[in-house]
Amino acid sequence: MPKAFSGVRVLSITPCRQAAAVAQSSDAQVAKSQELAPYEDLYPSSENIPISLEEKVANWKRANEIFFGPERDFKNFPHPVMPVTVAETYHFGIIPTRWFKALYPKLGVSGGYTVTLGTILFLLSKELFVLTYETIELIALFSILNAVRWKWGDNIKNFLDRKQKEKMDFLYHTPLHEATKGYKTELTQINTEIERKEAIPTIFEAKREQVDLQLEAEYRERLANVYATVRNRLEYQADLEHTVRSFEQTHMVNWIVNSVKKGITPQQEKDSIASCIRTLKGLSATASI
Amino acid sequence: MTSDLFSMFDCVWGAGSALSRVSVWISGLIIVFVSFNFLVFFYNMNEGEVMIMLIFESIISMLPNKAKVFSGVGHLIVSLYLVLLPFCVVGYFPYSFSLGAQIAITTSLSFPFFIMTVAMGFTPNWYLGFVKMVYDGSHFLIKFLVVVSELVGLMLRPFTLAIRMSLNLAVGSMMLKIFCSMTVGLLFPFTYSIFSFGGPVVSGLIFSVFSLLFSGVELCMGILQSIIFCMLIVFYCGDILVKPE
Repeated sequence: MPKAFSGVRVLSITPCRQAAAVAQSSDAQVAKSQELAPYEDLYPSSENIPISLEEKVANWKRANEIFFGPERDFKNFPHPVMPVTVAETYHFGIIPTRWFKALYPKLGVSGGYTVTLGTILFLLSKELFVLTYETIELIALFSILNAVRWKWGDNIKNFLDRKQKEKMDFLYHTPLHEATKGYKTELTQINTEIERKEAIPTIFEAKREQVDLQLEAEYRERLANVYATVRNRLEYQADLEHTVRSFEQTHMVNWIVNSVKKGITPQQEKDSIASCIRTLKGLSATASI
Repeated sequence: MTSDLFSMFDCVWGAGSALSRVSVWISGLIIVFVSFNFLVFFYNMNEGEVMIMLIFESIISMLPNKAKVFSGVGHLIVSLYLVLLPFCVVGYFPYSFSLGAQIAITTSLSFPFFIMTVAMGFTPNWYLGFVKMVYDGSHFLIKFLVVVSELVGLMLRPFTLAIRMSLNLAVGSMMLKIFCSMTVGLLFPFTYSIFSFGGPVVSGLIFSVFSLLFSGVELCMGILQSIIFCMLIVFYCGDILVKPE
């Protein structure tokens, strides 16, 4: 191999990954390229780049934000939608207009027509296409098929499109819709449960506070009971002492009075009564009305 | 190479080009291989595949329960129809012939299917098939003759199946060729003598109408023959079985 081509890698013929021909100047790069296996490439595929799942998710989110975020101008640059079917037009009933447009740069507007007519005339003149009864069959076939297409083509197409839609709805869209509906309901329920989960600490605190209040109430009730009990007992003791003292007092008064009464002789009693009468007479003599 | 009225039988007696034969012989497999291979390639069905599915479902729905004596009857009948339809219709196209017009093809289909319908009667109650043929209230000789005629009709079923299809298609194709031959004068209007006074052109115009109409008839005939063949097979499947009561 000539030295000028020493740094150039030959194009690979593998259909999946084709290595580009890279002009390499340094020997180190040449050596490195020679170390690569045939299936390896100087331009690594994205499949081989080690990246974690979190990074991938972050990259997707960033891409989504760029392409479908609030700054995206959907009005002037709407999202392209690939059509399911391509509306195609035909010349002479069978030749697609695309072919005429493809010939336009070289042959102009009449290119397609001249090619068609010229081909037919060529085939007829050279008798490559022999005019026999089978030509009439061909014309009859062409006429019948176009007549059917002209008269019932739209109805047949609409019918088949409707059936196609029904089939696809039955096979894919309805089951998918039912499944997503179920999943959406489940998702709503799960989100509700997540929101409820966030309220659990608050509820827990409220319940704990409630329990604390109940404990406080119980404590105060018991304290009041204790107070009442102790007060009752103390009052009992006080009443008891008061009763004893009053009993003693009464007894002592009665004893003293009885003793005094026993000590009073009849002569003393008479004398005291006479004294009282004399006093009263004296008071009545000096009293002024 | 020129073609004549009996060009459709060239493949039988070794004439004609191999290319024309091969392309026509492949016609029987074209729907089955091409459409069903592409059926799993794309997500959505195209209109042709929708039509095939409609045919499938309509055949399955039209099958009587009596004919569903083994699993796969529906698949068998639909496959038979999807093979027979191009057999019969391809002859409608120019420069080709109907495979269904060849007696060898139709007999090779009719005999195995007939034997299939008979083999389904190989049950412990096989003799009830004869009981079904007997009608009460007539003389013994008449009953005997009726049974014999029914048996002969039973034996002739594969032949009738084959000949019905092949002759219908062959004769129709030949008539179409005749009408089209009468019309070919339109393509050479200036080649006739002035003393023909435009006769070939006038007859060509008249027969062109016939050609046009008859080609439509031939197309319908091709579709109809394949339907008749399949429906008769279904009928024979259901006919052969008799309940003990």
